[in-house]
Amino acid sequence: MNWIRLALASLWNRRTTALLTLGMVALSLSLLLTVDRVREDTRASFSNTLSGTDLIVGGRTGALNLLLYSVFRIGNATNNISWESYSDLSRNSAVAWTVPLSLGDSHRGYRVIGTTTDYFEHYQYGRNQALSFNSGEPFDDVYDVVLGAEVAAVLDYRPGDELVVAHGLGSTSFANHDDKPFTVVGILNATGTPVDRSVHVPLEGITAMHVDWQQGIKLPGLSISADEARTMDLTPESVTAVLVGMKSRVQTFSFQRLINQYRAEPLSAIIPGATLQELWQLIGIAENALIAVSFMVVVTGLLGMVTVILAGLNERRREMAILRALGARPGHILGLLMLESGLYGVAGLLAGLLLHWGVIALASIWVQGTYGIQLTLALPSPSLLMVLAGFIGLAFLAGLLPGWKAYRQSLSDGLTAST
Amino acid sequence: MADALSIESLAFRWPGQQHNTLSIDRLQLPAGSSLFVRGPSGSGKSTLLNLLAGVLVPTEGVIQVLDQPLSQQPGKQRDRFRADHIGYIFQQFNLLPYLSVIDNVMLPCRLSRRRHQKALSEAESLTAAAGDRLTRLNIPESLWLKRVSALSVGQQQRVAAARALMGLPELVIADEPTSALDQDNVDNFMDVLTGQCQALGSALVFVSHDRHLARWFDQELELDAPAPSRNEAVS
Repeated sequence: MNWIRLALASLWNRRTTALLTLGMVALSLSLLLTVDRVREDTRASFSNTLSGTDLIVGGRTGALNLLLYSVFRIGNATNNISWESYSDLSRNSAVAWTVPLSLGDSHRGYRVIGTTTDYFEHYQYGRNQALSFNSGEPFDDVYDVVLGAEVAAVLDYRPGDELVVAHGLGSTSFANHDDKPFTVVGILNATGTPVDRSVHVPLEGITAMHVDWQQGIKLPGLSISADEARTMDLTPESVTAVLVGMKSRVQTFSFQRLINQYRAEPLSAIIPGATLQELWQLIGIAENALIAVSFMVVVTGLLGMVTVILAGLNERRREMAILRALGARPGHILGLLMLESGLYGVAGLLAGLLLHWGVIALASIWVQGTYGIQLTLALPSPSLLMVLAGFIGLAFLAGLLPGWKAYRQSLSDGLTAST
Repeated sequence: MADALSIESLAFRWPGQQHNTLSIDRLQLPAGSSLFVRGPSGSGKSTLLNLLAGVLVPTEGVIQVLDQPLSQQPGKQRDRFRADHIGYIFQQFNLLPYLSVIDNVMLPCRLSRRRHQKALSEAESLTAAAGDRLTRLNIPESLWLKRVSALSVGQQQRVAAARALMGLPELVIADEPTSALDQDNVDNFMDVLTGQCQALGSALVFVSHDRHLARWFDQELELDAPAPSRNEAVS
């Protein structure tokens, strides 16, 4: 009632201090909100990248590494799979489909994926959503290329444009396959996954680019033109990884065991979901540390707020004495300070939310472009909402400390505070 | 009408002290009349005011305000009683700096329903009642919406008096309200304060060390310098 008005007017009278305190509380809360949002969105983005694939097969390597380089385009492959092994496993009766992936080249910082048209048919993301074309169609010719949405948008490519692939990764390369340019034939719709940042060419195209190369360098004196390469056998010697769909999910484990014990060549097979769980466990440690730090910052903000109220108490002895003279009970004085502390909490939360949304709105553009993670403007997760409700309660309770001091002060001062 | 104030064998001693800070055998103040309490510093003036306002309770004896044994009521009731029946004027800095002049005057009615109703029984609205008090205490209307800091000390004390008289309290207590004023302002303040207390029927207890002020009052009480002696009420 009137006490809220009084508390607000009193705060407004001390607005410089009050606004700074509010800023401190808001900033600490927005840190917590933002860290939690980034965590949620990172997880969502990782989980949404691949679905419908039962196994990922690669050369013998760590499960996490295989998942990261084959699906998330992070890191590099250490071993490849020979074409013979690939052909062998794709012929297995339990296998419904396979999508071979050949990695290692790039175009202006975007990774080039050598694959087959099966990629556009079987690759799924989110909740079993298939890839779709914004314009054009899947590649058909050796020198055709299909671009992810972001590549096309950022580099401003349209169907019909030509581009040159660079050898190796990195945004600037001195070794370009400029004798064998590719023609854009299709552009995919945006998916919010690393596919948006990929340049897709046929496996044969990858082979053709490298016919006159050996060990990563162009052989001097040997030059095979794009058209000459067409006439050669462009079956690749190896691929980097294979996405596998099983006819029946039940067979996944036995097939995984089969591959892990494959005799002709050391191979690894992973179940994407299970490996993602491993990733979470690993990342979880860092996440928890970040969340813990954010919580400490919020607590620091609360402590700072209590300190500010306590420090101002002496100057407000007059105010308290006047209120006492007008009939305020010592309990009212206690309540007034709890109210003030709580108001800091409520206003700090609102300001913190706004600040958090502002930061997310600004950062999402950069984060999307750099890490491919889509940050969302949304209410905090239910569990965090509980925490925030707890924070509001704590903000009111924190007022007990200055409130108690003022209570004692007003009892001893009575109506004759001399300050 | 009954007494505004009556005191019977009152003694007050701070915990841990051997001597009484204050002791009064007997004091009676009829409703609507005024009492001047004089004494040097340390004579227990502040203690008396805190006792009358119900912030402190006597060690011995009984204080009756408006025929209610204030000293025997629990703290919560004493606070309520103060809000409903007592107007209080401090030595200085009476007003909340974050409220306008008129909001300061209306404050007692916001904290006491009884005074709110009484104010509404004499005027159409709280604002009108507050305006009436301010006019009675010679505060020009141009200042009513101003911030407190825009007022001179003399004006601030008169606003404080206007606030004390808001909602017709039966008793007004003033704690050396003229100590910060110059002589002209003192006379002016004393005239309007005692005049309006009389006009509105509020009893007035006024504390000061300045004996010249005694002429404005019906009764006088002299408190002695701090010593283990007895004080006497003089009428």
